[in-house]
Amino acid sequence: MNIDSVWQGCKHADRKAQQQLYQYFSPKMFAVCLRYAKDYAEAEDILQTGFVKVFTKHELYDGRGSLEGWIRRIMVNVAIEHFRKHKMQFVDVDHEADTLTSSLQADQSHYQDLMQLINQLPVGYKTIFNLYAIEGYSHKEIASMLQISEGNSKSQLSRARDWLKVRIIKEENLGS
Amino acid sequence: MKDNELDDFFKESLKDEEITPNNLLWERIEQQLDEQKIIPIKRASKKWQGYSIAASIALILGISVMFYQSQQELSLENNAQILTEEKNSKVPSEITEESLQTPTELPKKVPSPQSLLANVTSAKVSRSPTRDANHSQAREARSKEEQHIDYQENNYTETAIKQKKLAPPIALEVSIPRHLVMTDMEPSTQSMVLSEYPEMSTPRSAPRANLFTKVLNAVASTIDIAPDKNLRFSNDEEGTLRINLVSTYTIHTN
Repeated sequence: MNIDSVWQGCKHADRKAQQQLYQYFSPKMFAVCLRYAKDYAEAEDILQTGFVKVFTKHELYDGRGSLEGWIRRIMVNVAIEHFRKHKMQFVDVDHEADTLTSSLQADQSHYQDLMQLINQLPVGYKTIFNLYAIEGYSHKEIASMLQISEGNSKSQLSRARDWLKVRIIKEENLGS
Repeated sequence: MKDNELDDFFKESLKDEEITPNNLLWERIEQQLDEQKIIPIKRASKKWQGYSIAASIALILGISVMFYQSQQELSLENNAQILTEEKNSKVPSEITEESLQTPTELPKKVPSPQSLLANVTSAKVSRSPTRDANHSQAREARSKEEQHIDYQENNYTETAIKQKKLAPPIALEVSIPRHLVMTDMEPSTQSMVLSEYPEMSTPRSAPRANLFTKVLNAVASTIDIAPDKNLRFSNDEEGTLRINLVSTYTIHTN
């Protein structure tokens, strides 16, 4: 499948091309959405809103950078919008999930282990860790995206790392 | 574990993962796209509605202005017709009164050169009594006057024929159906000519409600009024049709 010709079809609101683009990118994007969402249903909502934006605001893609990167960015932005709508606040969380989840089992895939860990992160930590470590945004970008200070972004990232480190070490100890 | 190592560990593990969403999700996206398609159409229709409202207001305004102007022209034309009627009705009545008056007084009032000559000759040759002479003078004068009136009548009818003959070029020039122009021109000529023959002047038919005929009537009426009217028309009006009609007509009649 030539993704360029499919994208040309999407520009002309060709429904078949839109479906092809969706089928091509939705698995990757759904994984992105799942990292930001609190549950599966929310990830579906983000994916739906994201793809509608991709199809209706196709003129905003200027051709610089990869199409995948642009779509991914839209998904991330939609996820953050979603948090804002639901008045999710990126403040320091007092209570931490102090117990390691028992769902981490040996037969689970590496990805699912890590996803579980990510999903156990408090929302503020999770979002900033996702944006910084996985998507590669800078603290400046994150600060403007989430409308927080850069210092807040940095401190939340370091706490998220600490939180994850503790769990990984615990897991490694359990596994060994 | 260092911070970078942790980040990379998660990045490499999670970045390119793929999880296929529920198949029903595409249907939801399609549905939302269909719903969003309707919105621009609604917006467009609202825009169109706004334009149509503006256009209809402009149209109504334009029509009302046109009607107002045509009404003014019509009233002007009516006034002009009334004036001409009054003029024409005054003149014949005077003439008839004079002609019906006792012949004895007439020569004194209107001493025409012929009657004076006759007076002189009658005085020279016959030396008949003044009353007889007066009587004969009066008779002569009366006949002269009658002749004069006849001449006038002929002249009027001639001019009427002239005008009727000249009417077609105008009709051709403006490319209006000939009968329309003729019917519109007739009232003015009638007011001028037929008022001399009270028995022939048929009751004038009510002016047609047609805007076109109204305008043409107004033009026809202005022809009868003084030449400064024509000048006013050529100065005021922007439309060339009416101006051309008036000017050509005046040229032909002159």
